[in-house]
Amino acid sequence: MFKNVNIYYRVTIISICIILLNQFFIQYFLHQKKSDAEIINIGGKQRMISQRLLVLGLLELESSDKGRQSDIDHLYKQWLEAHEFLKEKFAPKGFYGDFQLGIQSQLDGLDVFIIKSKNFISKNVVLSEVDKEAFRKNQDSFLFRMNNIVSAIEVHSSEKLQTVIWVEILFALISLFMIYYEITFIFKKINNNLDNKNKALEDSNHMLEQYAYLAAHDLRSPTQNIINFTKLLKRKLETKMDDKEKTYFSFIYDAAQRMNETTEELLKFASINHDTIEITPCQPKKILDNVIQDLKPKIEERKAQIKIGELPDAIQADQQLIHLVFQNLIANGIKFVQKDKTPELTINYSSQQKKHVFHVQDNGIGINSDNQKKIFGLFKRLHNQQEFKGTGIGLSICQKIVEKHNGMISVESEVNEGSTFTFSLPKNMRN
Amino acid sequence: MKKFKNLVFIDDDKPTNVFHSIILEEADICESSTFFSSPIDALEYFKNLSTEDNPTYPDAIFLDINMPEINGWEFLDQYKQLNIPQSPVIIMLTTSLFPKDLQKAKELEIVHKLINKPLEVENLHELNTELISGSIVH
Repeated sequence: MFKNVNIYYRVTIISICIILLNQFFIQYFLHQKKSDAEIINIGGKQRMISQRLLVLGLLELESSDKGRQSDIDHLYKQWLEAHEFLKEKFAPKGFYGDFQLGIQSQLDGLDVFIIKSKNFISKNVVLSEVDKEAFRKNQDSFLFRMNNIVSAIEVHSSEKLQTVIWVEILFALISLFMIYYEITFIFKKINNNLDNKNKALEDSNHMLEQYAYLAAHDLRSPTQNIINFTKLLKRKLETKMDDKEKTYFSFIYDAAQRMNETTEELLKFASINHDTIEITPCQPKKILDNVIQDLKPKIEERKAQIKIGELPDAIQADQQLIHLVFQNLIANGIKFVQKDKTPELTINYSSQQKKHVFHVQDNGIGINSDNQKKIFGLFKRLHNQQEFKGTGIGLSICQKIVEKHNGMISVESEVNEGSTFTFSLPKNMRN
Repeated sequence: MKKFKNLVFIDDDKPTNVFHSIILEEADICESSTFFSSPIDALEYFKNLSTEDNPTYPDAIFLDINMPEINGWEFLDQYKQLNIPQSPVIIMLTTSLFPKDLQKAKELEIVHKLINKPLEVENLHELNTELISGSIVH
């Protein structure tokens, strides 16, 4: 864990460095480009100055009107200053020292031409055609060399730019890779954290289930004993007891009986685990027949009517658990009906593309919308024991079973009209 | 009504044993009964059981599934290794009818049936008719 955090920091620092370095390179080369452009500009100017010198020089030499000397001197001075500046610029130093030296040595040769021209002019004599020709030639070779220098600088500058582009692309790629690594690393860490948390939650859920299971299991025998011996004592003492004593006895008995039911339901709830569910092909019709058989005393007591619609021949599910779901839903449908009303239940099925959907509809007291979501909570009861007996575990068991099958359970209900419980089971269930 | 010679009860829960002894008395279906609150003691008893002319040779064993030392199923594994020639009928007892236990009881040939605890007088009468009138008792 600690080691990972270290890597995380290291990668962050390296990527920041690369991004900064990249920025530095970009800035440095932009600056270089600017100074290259400046030099090229100066080079161009030098070319112009020297051309002007040539024109002025020729005019001065050919014309009888000799008033251009100060202009020529001025231009010459200008040229010399710029020339010194360029020579300074191309001092052989830095990363491109060789190139600088090359340019500088070429620049060095230029003075000779200019000085030669100047000398022609300052002689202040009428030049022969031969001299004039030599003057022009001198200027031409000067301009030619000047052009060479400027274009060499231009080529060098654009080569530099190309290098910058490549370096920049390389750095950008490295940064992108680092950022990618970083993000996956962070996400991996987040995922790992989530996984760990999920694992811890699962463990604690499992522990709670184990705890509930053990507690319920260990409570069963003592409660059973209370029931047994209360029953026994009641039978032995019944004739000797007055009404009050009989009532007290029935309090003990009823309480123990309720405790027994609760522990039994809790035991059922806790014993439904993923590793215990067993998916086999089972027939809903058969399951419902068995459920109705199990609930026969309750059905007969309330004269409940149960209608069963079309059902699929077979589904993939844990038969005993689905039995439990139907048993709870149907038992609720019979139980939660006004005392003066005949319970009427309808069990329907609808097929969806990927799931089986079962509906258990009753004509009972219904559930108001506030309570519809709460009823699946463990120990959630909406009525007192006098109104409707129960443990508040039945629907939690249903929900747990359906969810273990990767299905969903829900309720639609209207107060005094009845409720419809709907649960779905995936068609492609695998064990 | 023909009575069982001896019925063996193995259950770690003493009150349950007491309750069963009372029910047994009420049902009046056996000459004698033997109660064990430890399955280990019960195994010892079966190891030393003599088959010849034993007036208290057990007809049936009522075996609780959930016990701390060894559970009912583990008891059966060890019991089978004793190779008792005339094995009594074995009835498993449990506090709740877990589908898985029921399944296991059905799969094991040695187990006659699984009954939910506590035993009632009716259960015992039913067993008496079932076993003594049938050919299961040796």
